[in-house]
Order: sequence, then C-alpha cells, then structure tokens
Amino acid sequence: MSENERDLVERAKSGDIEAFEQLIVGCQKKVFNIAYRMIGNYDDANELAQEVFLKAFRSIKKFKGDSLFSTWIYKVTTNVCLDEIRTRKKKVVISLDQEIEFNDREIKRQIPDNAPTPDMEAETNEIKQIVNESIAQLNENYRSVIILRDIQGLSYGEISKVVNCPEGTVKSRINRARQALKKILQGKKELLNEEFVK
Amino acid sequence: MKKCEEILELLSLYIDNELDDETSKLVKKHVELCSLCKDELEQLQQIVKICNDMDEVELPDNFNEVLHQKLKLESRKMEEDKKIVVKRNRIMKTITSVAAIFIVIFAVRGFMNIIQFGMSFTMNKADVFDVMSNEGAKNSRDYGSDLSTKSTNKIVASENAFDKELADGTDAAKEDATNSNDNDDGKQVIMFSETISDLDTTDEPKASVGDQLEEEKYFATNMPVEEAREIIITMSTKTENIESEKLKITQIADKFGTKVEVDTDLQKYAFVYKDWRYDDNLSISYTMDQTSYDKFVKEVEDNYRGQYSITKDEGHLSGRLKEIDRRIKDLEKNELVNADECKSLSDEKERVVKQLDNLNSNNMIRVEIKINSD
Repeated sequence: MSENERDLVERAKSGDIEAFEQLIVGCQKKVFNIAYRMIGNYDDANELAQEVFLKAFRSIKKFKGDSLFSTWIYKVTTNVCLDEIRTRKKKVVISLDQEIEFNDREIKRQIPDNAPTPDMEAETNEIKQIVNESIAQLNENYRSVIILRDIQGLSYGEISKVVNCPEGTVKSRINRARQALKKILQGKKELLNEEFVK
Repeated sequence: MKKCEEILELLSLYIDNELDDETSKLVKKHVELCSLCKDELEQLQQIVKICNDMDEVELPDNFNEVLHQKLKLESRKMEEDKKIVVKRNRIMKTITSVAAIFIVIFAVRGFMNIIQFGMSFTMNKADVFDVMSNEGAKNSRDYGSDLSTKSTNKIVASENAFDKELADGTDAAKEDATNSNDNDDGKQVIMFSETISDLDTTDEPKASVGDQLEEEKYFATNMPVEEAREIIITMSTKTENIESEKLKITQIADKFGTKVEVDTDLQKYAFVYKDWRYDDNLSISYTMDQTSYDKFVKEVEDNYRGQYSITKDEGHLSGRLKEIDRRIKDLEKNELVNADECKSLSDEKERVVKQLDNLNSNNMIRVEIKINSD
C-alpha cells in the first residue's frame, strides 16, 4: 500500500467522503464488472455496486491495511454478490404449480425466472455471449473464481484473500470451475459451430 | 511418467504458469505425446482466452453522483448512530440504577411501594397529581396510612392478624401507638382511610411506629409482588388537556379499586421517561396487578372505544420500524435521493428504536393508549 493510499484510508476511516471517493476511483469499474458478471444483469449490478461502496464506507474501519485496498474491496464485492444470490435462491420456495385463485378462477402460479439473465445485447460476439451465459450457470463459488481469475485477471494470491480461502483451495477450485465451465460449453457445442474447434 | 488423470489435474495451473519448472516441463512433455490431454489443454486455453477477452461494461453516467449522495446520507446516519449509542448507554445506565434503587426500596421497605401507591389513590383524586408534582414529599408519612388500602384484601387481612400480634407483643412499650389498633380492626381501616390528611400533621409519631413494624410484617405476609405489573401508558393528544385526560385514565383504572397509581414516588423515572416524550405524547407509569390490568383494558376497550385505543406497543413499534426501513430502502433504490425525507425517516427510526430498546429493557406489560382528540 502506498503512502498516499494509506493516508486516504486513514481519512476515510474518520468519515472523509472525498478521501473515500479518491480511494475507490481506481477500482470502481472492476467492482461494477465483477457484480455484473456475478449477477448477470446491468441494473442489478448497478444496485449491488452502490451497495458495495456504501458497505465499504461503513466498514472501512475494519480494513487493517494488510492487503491492497482494492483486494479488500473486491472481497466486499464478492460477499455482497454472494449474499444477494443466496437471498434470491431462498426466495423461490413456493410450489411452482400450486394453483392460486384469481378473479374467481384458478390459475397456475407463474414464477418469475430469477436465474441470472445476461443482457444479450451486451455481448455482440456470439461466442462471448455463450461463454457469458455458461458462466452464469456455474454455481456461485465457481462463478466467482472464474470471474476473478479469468475475466478480471487477479492473481492466485489475491483471489485467496478475496474469497478468504487458502491458496491451495483456490488452485483446485479454479481448476474445477474451468472443468465445469467446459462441461456446460460442451452441452452447447452445436451452437458453437466452427468457432469452438473441438 | 505421470498418468493422464494426474496431468489433467495440473492443466489449469499449467495455463496460469503456477507450476514449478520441473512439473511444468513434465506436463509439456506429456501433452506433446498424449493427444487426449492435448485436446483438453487446448479447450481450456480457449475458454480462458475468451474469458480474458470478455468486454467490460461501463459504469452508468450518474453512478458517482448517486453514490456521492448516498455516502453523504450514510455519513450523517453514522454520526447519528454514534449519538444514539451514547444516549442508549446513558439510558441503560439510568434504567439499571433505577432498577437498583427499586431493589433497595423493595428490600428495605418490605415491598411497600405498591401498597403505598394504592394508598394515595384513596386520597382524593386531585391529590394524586399533587403528590406527583410534590415529588412524593408525603411518602414517609403515607406508610402508616397504608393500613387502609381497601383494594388489597389479602394484605389488609394479614395486617389485621399482625395488628393483634403487634398488640400482644409491644403492649408495654407502645401502648399508645397500638391502642387504636387493638379495638376493632374493621373500624381501624375505616378510620385510617378517613383520617389520611390528619395523619400528616397530628399522628406523626404513631405513623412512624407503624411504619417500622410493618416492614417486618410485609416480608412475612409474602405479598405477591410478581403479580404487580408496571404499565406504561403513552397518551398522545392534540388537546391542551393532557392533565385532565391523565386524570380520566386514572379514574378508569381507579374504578376497579385496584392498586393503580400514577408514578409518584419514582420521580427518578421521570427523567428516563422524558426521553420518551415526543410530539404531544406523554408517558406515565402505573402499577397494577394482572387482573386489574385485564379489567382496565377491557373497560377502556368496551366503553371508551374511539376515545382511547389500546395497542400493544411493541408490535406497533416494530411494525412501524419495518415500514420505515422499507421506505428508506425504496428511497435508496430511487436515484433521486430525497434528502429531507431520508432525514426525517432516519430521525423517526432513531426514535422508534429508542422506544423499542426502552420497552425491551423492562419487564412490563406494554400498552400504548392513544387519546383521539377528535
């Protein structure tokens, strides 16, 4: 951590909003993009990213400076996203075909699809689009390491701090996540045509 | 030579250059010879490459403005939270010390408080409020008159029993003081209730004798203290007549001849309650037992509907708290943050949380009685 960053952190800890804003300038886009890949939807990502920075501002006192500030804030990001994903999962517990009464008639309950819905327009390239969809289908633990490692390019050491796991666990998790992603992609092989060679 | 399975496990790390040189060479050699593993490696490399090249999305234009507003709001909230914590600690300390004073009073006076309160009720009603404003100046003198508490039959009965003991045991020493008790218990009760005001001035020594002796007696009679409940009645009225409304409520409670009392002795309480005072609301504390409480509530609900309404405070408050939280969240979602509304909401939240804290820290029946002015 640089002298300047240290100074900004100290000021942010005492409630200095400007100092905090300077601190996050460098990592805002990354935070937003991690949230976007995690949740798969631009508007939700916006909301989550805001929440990440608010939460970081609230709890910056807990940041002890033993890692880069950016690493710490990616950790907050991952946690906020995982919390959101888990809350969403919990919400869908109603029986899918339970009949409900509506205007004296019984109709089938329709449940909105809460699975991540990647914004199709965002990916112009077809193959990227398919990979993006496949990432969204991964379970959240695999999804987060793929996003952190392969999309955001964090080092193993950083990821280990972000997901709060030993580096060994991170290594095998990344390996398994890639395998899982490959499996999903293979299921979509016919869509990929020549673009995906094997 | 490693087996394919082992090599497959290492491919991911191989791609990321996370293997030591030796292992890396081993993998490299293997994939040159094994087409299966080579295929696998190429597929993985391709996936990683696609991920690496994934386009980044841009932040919304107003992202920083919105965030700045929220941070300002958050910073203010944090400041206020700090204050609340300080205040809360102060209130908790007060409650604790009041509770301690209670214990001391109960222990030393032999659970006399409630009866004593009941006593002041048999005084004429205007006096109740006199007593309240006079900071319970008459407290010590009222002890003797406790004997006349009509409502606490059990206690009166045991008093009578004790009076006889008293008469037997202390004949010689306190002949004067016990003379009147000796004769007719029933009469004595009536006499006391009729001569309260006289007691203050004329019978001072007698009263204090009764005082001392009764202490022991009440320990012995095992008064059902646990049945006595404190009730906080929060009255909100737009009328100026909060005093007369207070009196009315008191009269309703009085109807049952119960040990109902406006909190007089415990002026210390008043400054805890002062924090509860908001808008036009006023909190007073009553002491009554469960049965009386039930009757009291029923009476208010049956006959004073529209004038008074009883709500379980806790449910009402936590309901309101949820509503506030939801509203705040709604506002935060909305990009146009309305700072004024947020401020007033967080103010109200602070107030509600404080009230809930107060309630939760007391083992009481919680009632909110609202006086509807129209």
